[in-house]
Amino acid sequence: MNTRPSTDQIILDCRRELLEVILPDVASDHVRVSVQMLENVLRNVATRAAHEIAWMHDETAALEAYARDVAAAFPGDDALASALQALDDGPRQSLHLEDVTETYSRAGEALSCALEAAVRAGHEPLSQRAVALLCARNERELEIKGEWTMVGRT
Amino acid sequence: MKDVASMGERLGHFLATREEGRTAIVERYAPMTGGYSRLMAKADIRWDDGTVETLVLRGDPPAGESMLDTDRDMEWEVLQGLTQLGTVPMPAARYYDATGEHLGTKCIVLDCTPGPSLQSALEAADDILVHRNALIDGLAAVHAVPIDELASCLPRPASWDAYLDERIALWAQTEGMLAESNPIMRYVGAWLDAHRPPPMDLVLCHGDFQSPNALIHPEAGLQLIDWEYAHIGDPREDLGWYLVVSEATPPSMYSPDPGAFLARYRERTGSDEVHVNEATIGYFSMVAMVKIFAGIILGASAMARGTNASLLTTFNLNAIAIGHMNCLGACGALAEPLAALREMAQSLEVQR
Repeated sequence: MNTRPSTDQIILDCRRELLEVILPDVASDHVRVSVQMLENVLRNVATRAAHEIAWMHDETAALEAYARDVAAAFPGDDALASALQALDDGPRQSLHLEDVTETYSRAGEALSCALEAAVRAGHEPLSQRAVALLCARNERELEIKGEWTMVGRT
Repeated sequence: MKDVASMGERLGHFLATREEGRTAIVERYAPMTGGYSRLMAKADIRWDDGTVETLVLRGDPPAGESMLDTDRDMEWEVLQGLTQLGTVPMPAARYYDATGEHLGTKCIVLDCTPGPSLQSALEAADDILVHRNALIDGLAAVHAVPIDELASCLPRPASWDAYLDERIALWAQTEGMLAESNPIMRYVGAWLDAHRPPPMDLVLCHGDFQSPNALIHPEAGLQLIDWEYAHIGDPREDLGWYLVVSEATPPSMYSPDPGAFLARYRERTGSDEVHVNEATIGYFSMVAMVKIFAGIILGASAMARGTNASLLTTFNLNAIAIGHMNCLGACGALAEPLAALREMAQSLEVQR
């Protein structure tokens, strides 16, 4: 298969074509707003194409480690045990995007159950660890977002 | 409503059914940009007595194309009630095609406000604060509406706690409907439940109080539009939502001086500083966020499941990232101030 230019490069080139060739010839305000939205979506998608499998893979490991620590601290939590079992049963060895996404979602559910157990028990160190994981997750979301404003709302 | 070629004639027929003995010619019909959830259009009308006016149409998009689904019947009932009451600055609600029989979709027809949106005015203004008092006073007028005189279709919570329980539960309920897990939503729900502020009386909330949803009429001044999220709730929800949206799409009239913004609101509503302050508004920014946040994030899940194909849905995925960031920041900053306010409110209660 051809890999150069990479997927993110191709997407960014489509974005350039949209902005430099198509948009100047669009007269309708309604369509111009759509084109501006598409431009933004393409930038987001390019960043995801370049990094999302690695990012989900790395984060899944961190979420699982936290959830297993909480499970060890609160061994009677059925929801957490069940979420960890579901993670174990997931398609963990595959690098296909659909499988990585599914595994990441199962790890997210394990994190949710774990943080709820920690907050419910008033366990401050485990609660703070959960917050740190959530902040790291959000940093990636913001990196994907890049520059963004509500096009067409004025 | 998107079929410009046929809409003029359809609208003319519709108006004739609503105004007995009058007929109207639609001289111009054009779709509008700016509404993110509804189809919007503007129409220039000439009545048979020679009077001319411009009307705004606000209708439901076709099934599967809507990013946010809301109830047009309820919105119409609220708009009609507020138009009759006459105390809230807003364009009058005129007609409603409740079945879509005439206009192709459920559609509300309103007076057109001839003026820019507040958002446009702020972006062009040298001093944005010249509009601040008008915006706050408009909101105070909404919160002063006697809710017993409002549309019966608006749900009435049994108590403040019941109302807040329901609002907080939306975080976990929404997360449960998603196509993927969202641990930040689960955390926010748990946090809100553990950090409740002192309660206030429930009022009519606009539900989407933000600068793009206010227009500047050259004579009548500020007019509030887009009432699809109106509901009975805590008044701080509207203030909290304004904080969220104005931070995401500046300029904000709150952030330069929150103290002055809230002092004006307290002055116009008779509320006090224990209840209306930066910490409680921060708390309610998260409470308020869930309903519209849910619309966006559920739209994304619908797209993942193949039942929604809107460009707006994809575009607004970024709003989720901003919402997450705001919520995490607020949880970290507000825990201690809210605990202090609860203690203060309790000691005031004991003194009384």
